[in-house]
Amino acid sequence: MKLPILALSVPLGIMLSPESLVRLGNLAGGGSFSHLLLALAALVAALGAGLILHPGLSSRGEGATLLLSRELGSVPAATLLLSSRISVTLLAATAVLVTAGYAFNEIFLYWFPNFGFAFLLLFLVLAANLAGERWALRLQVLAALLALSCLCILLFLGVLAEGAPLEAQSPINPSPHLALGAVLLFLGYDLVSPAENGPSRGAVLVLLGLVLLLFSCWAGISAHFVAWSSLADSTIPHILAAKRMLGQPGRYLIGTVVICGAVAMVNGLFIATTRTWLALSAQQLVPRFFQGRNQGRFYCLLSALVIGVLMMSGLAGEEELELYLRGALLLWLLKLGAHSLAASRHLRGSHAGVFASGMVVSCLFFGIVFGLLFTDPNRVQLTGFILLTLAGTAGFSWSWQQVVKRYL
Amino acid sequence: MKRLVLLMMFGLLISAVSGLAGDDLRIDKDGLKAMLGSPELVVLDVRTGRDWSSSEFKIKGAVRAAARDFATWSQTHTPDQTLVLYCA
Repeated sequence: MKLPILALSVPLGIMLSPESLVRLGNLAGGGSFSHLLLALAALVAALGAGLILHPGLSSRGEGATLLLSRELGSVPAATLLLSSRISVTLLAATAVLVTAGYAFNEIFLYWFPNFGFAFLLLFLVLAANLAGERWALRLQVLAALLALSCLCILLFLGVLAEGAPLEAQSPINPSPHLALGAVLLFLGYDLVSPAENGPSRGAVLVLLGLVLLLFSCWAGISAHFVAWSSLADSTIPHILAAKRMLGQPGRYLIGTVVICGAVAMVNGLFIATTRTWLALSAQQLVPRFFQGRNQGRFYCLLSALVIGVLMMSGLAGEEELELYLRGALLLWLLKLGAHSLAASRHLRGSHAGVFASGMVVSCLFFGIVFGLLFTDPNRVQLTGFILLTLAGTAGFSWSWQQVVKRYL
Repeated sequence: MKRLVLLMMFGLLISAVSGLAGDDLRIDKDGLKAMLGSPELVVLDVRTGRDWSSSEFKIKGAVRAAARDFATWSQTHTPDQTLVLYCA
């Protein structure tokens, strides 16, 4: 846990997920405007990270949970943490594992069933997490660094390769929804190791800077090889770009990025959600089913079981999954806004200047949530999903606290 | 006994019909390749969600048509057209 890469591999894994590659590729269709959007999104993330990881805040194991419950109340704290972590873990895992299954089937082994591979990856992540956080972090570093290395190799070889000249074209202005969604490319910095030896705020800001550089280079090189309109409209812009850059070797490299990125995202979310459950149960905000390490194992097993059922039910083949996933990501942004608000309130006494800037940052997050919700084509269903999830988790945490007060 | 024989014959009839139907309704990739470009041919991609969005392989000119919306899109084609549906 002493090396920052161990803790930084969790946010890095989230940022290099197949979801990010698709969003980034679509943004790249906007030409030079996409670089400006990426820079603004990274700035928002840096402001959020600067506040959430402020040295004046407790960085111990239960830091975020304690901070949120002290500043906002225990039920809102448990509601925000549970709804954002659980929904993203279950829905994003279902989505990216199926995507990785397709990548393996279409790029590497055509005869191997895509769903079989998705389940193999789920089993790998579950096995690592059942073995303990140490093994889960090792898998996280391996998957995140493999994804990063392959993307960097692709970039390097792409710079050397000569692309076929593209026809005269004009960039496609990204929709307001896509432009605002650039913020989602830098999610995950709030999942860094909360241990005492966790990385400093500076290390996280450096990571955000490096990811911005990587994303900008990838957007630039993608636009050099693929027409802007194709990038903006494609559901697999990263695969298109890699294929045009290097042909079959490019497909192999991007296939590895997709599979490793999916493992890194799912594994990172498992690690983060288990930590959240443990922190919440330590404060009696959620039930504790087992003692010691078995408690974390139980949550991992339960999550994997639900993800397996969701995959078996064919949710990945339904359009609704995308809607639910967008809702889950909005809940995550909502949690970041509340987290920033709690951090700025906590620092009000000791760091007077932080309070005002913290309020601006949290308003920025809430504004982005509202903007993404308003510009979504299915805003009514999306709002319904978010409200239902919030109401469900609030009801659960409130009921549990009544049980604790009366009987425990 | 008579009932059993009748039941077996009915079963054989059903399987023969379904076998014939299977022969008529399936097309392999070479068969489709030979038909591509024909004005009567309509290729319908009935994959939805990630099944469609994560896949790199999409037949050029294929029209997306979700199976659940069959009642809607089936009305837009004429009987003289050849519809080829693919889901994987």
